[in-house]
Amino acid sequence: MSARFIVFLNYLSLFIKLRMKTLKYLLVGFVFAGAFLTSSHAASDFDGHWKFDPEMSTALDPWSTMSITIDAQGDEVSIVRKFGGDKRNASEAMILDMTLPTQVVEVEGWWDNRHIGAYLGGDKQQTVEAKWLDEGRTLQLNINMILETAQGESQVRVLREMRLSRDGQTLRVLQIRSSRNLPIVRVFRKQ
Amino acid sequence: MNKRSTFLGLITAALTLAVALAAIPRSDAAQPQAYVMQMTDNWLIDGDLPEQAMLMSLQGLANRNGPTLYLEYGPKWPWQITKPLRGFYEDTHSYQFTTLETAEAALDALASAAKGYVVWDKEVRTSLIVAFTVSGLEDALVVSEDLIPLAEAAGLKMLVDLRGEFRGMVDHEIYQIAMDRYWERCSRDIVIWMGGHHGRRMEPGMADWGIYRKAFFTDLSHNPKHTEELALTNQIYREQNPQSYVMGWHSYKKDTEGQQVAMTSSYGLRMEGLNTLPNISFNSQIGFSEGFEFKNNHSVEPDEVVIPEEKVYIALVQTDGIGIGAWTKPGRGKLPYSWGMALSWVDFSPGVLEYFYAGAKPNDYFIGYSFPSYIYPKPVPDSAYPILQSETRRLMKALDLRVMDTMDYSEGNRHVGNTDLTKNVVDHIYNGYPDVIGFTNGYGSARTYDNRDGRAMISYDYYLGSRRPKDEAIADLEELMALNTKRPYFLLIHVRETSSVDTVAEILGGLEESADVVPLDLFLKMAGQAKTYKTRYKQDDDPVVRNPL
Repeated sequence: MSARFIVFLNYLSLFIKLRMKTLKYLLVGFVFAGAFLTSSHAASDFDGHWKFDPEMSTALDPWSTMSITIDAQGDEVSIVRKFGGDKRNASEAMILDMTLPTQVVEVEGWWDNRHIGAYLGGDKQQTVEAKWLDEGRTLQLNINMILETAQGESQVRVLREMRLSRDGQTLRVLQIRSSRNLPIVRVFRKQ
Repeated sequence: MNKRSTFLGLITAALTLAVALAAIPRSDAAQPQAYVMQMTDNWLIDGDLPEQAMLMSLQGLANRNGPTLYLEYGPKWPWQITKPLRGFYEDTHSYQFTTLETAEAALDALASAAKGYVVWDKEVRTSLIVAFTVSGLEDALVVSEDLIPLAEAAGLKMLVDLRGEFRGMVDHEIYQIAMDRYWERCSRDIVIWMGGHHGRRMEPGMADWGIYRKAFFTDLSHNPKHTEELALTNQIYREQNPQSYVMGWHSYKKDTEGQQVAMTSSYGLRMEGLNTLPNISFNSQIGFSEGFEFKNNHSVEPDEVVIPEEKVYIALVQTDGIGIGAWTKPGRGKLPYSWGMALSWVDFSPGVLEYFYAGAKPNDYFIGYSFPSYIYPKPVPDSAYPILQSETRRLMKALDLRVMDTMDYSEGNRHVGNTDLTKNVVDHIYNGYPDVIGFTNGYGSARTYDNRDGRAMISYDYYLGSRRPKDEAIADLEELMALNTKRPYFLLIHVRETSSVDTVAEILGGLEESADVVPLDLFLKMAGQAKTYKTRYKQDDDPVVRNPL
């Protein structure tokens, strides 16, 4: 090994030591920025109007159509679900603050299964834990609500995961309800 | 002329008359006779509608002389009982039917029932509906231009020509003209709403009955957006006799079932559907066979007390109109099943009711409705309740019915709004029907519950739609059982009429928690003794949606 090379290595070593702290900060900064950019990029891909694909989804009847409109603005995400069928329409709208660990939202009603005698109780309020996962490609909602039936009130948990496809054109909404033995899969296409 | 010639002349005339009489089916003969014709499933203006409408008008006119012409409908017709009912008339009433193969043959046999014909305009669909009104008032055969030669070949002359009269007009203008000309002469006991399909299609199954009864025909709107049509609709309802009939159905294009029936109910009028209900001019003249008595398949005595076990009890009900659904489909009799009976058919289709009762299997149970016709209770004025309920009690007794169903779509439907009953309505029901052992409510799921002196009122907890996949239906029922944890749990299911009993049996067979499927009277008796449900009436803050189009 030549002396010049050794000197070079020594200067490189000194440079690295002196700059490590800065480098560390820079590296952390890049990673953070990258994560933020990734997250915000995926979140913005959620934005828009999504139309239900009946061929790929669990049966929706008595509804025949469904759509989701998502609008993520900074820390807030607005989700509007619309159910339609035979000239009858219902909607559920919530605005979620993604910085809060849990929040209470008031919605119009519970429309997911109009065949069964179960109605949103608890003054139409739902407690929601909302979080971004998978580098912003999944929006997960853990919902606690009260359903009223013939015999009174029941606490029901709903896990609703909204998963964005890599190409940003398909939204898969997986729902597990604590009262239901079968999961529900709803697939939506971006409009 | 000598005596011999006169005698021979009289003999010849008598023989001629005897031959002529023998050729005409007579309902009062020892073996009653009638004609039968087959309808196709093509109900388009450019298809078979013109000829079939003509035959229906002929039916209405001919049947004024007795039950003379019966029509059998195709496999796609909503009422699937026309063929089996004919068989019932043959077997039980000894009817002998002669088949008429063509329209020409029908006119040859029966044109004498008409005094002429009325021509409608194929370019103006509404003119056919007006022509039905004219037919009843003028004893006129209803024909399109193409059928004029046929009518004239049968010796008929034009009485009214509607061609070209209504071109460029909208419906409220056409019906205003029709009302100006004909309304005063029309029945105030029946009006026919010839709605249903719109456009180039019409299914005027009830045309014969309206013609037979000289009714006004229309398909005016009940939609608040259609102010001119609505004004005429209101005028008709105002001027009909109290508790008279509105028969047929709303127009699928203009308004909704909820809008129409809410409005007829607010006038205390009796809605009877559908526009497709056929052969009433024939069926109304067939009484009960000798010795026949209505006997229902009761599972409990009226004052019996039945204590339930701690399990899930299921009762199955179909109320859409007994002739249009699962009655004729495979599996009937396999499960305890309740069927809503059209109470008013005691008066205008008694033979049809006998057909259902005679064909009931041990697991078939008949129930009535809270009014003598299709009426929503919430819009009915309090003052109309006594007379309507009195009539209902008469009909319930005649048909040996002890359970009663209610449906109210005036503030919603099975998707949105509410289908629940106010306390005032529930009070009326309990007070007005002291002999009824229990009540059901809803169409889709509803949430009105009560229990007075062991007489339960239970709303449907589940609506089994015909398109629901079986595994989802099973999951639905299991979800209800998971949400309603107290036992006994009374799970009342309303089954869409197009679902067969076999399908329902498969679904119930897939449940994880076993449930007893029981007859409805037993179900309600047990519910009357174990109040695991909460009393509830329609609340002020329940959502209200008045079924807009």
